[in-house]
Amino acid sequence: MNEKKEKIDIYVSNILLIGSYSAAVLSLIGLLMLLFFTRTTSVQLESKPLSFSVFFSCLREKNPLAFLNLGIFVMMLTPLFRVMTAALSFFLEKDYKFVLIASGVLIILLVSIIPIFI
Amino acid sequence: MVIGGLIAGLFGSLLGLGGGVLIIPLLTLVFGVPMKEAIGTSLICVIATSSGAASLYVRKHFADIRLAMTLELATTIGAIVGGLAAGIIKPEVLTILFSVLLFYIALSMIRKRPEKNQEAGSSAPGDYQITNFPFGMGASFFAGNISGLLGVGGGVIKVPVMYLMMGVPLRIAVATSNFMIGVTATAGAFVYYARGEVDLLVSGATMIGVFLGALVGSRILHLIKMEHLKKAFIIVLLYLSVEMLFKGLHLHFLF
Repeated sequence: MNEKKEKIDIYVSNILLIGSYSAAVLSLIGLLMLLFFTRTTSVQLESKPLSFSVFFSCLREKNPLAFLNLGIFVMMLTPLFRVMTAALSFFLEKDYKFVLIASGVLIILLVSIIPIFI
Repeated sequence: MVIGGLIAGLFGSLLGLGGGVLIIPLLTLVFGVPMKEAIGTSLICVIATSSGAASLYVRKHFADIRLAMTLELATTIGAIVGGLAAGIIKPEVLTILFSVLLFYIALSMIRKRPEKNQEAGSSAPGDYQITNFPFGMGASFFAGNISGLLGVGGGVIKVPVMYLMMGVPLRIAVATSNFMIGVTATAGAFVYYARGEVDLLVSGATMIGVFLGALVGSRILHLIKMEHLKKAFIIVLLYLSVEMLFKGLHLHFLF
């Protein structure tokens, strides 16, 4: 039991690290691009969050704001993954009561995401 | 802004705060960012500090993930409600509420006695009996509310509640609260994001600063005399509290 728990903690910890590092790197790329390349490309400087359709076309055009947005989005999703990992690990421990609780938290978070897609 | 975020992240991680407490005054007072966008940005930064710090705590098995998840049911709902409420409330009112929060944090830091040595070693998650559970859930909802409404982590409420009311050892309470903060802030952050109140440029710049600051902070933690740092920080908080109050009232203090 204790060994298992240790493994779970390490999984969760890794998810947190990977998520926050990649988010920071993505935003840094966006920021540097914005600093060095804005003069040569015509970038839309409206720095509101992009809607999904706009977001992907901006990413294809290598719009710095799309990278910033992606970084911020990855950062916002990291805790979501952390809850998922916890739920999964409770499931592996066959602790179903806590699978239910973690799923509840996940559902609440997913509900809070929905308005972004509307 | 990167530098500002760096400083906020540094002090935030040294003092065990989400950093939102410093980021919001910095953005609104120094950079003139509107209050609601500052809150949205702050929530993103809170996630950044929390993810960095929590990864460390979780690895060392300080965080009680079961307790965190259960309380999280209440805080996430609280944060969404708070975030939605912030959409209706006037920015001036939010600024004044924030000033009150700063004052409260400063007071609680003055009152806090050094109690580190009492329980340095033994306790691990599961070794203690959790008491006052319904109260804890209610307080967590409130903490989430404050987080969504004012863009802070809410640790200032969660840690004392877990420690004093629910019988959780202090160190575990801090780690568990840190684990929860990111999840709570996310629920609130999505609400601001959907409303278009997360400025990409401001958030990106501040987030990088906070992230680096937190990394440095957690490494130099042992080199610093906490007592002096704390005293200085209390003064800064009191000053910021007055400054935010004046801003909320459309008056001018020093800035």
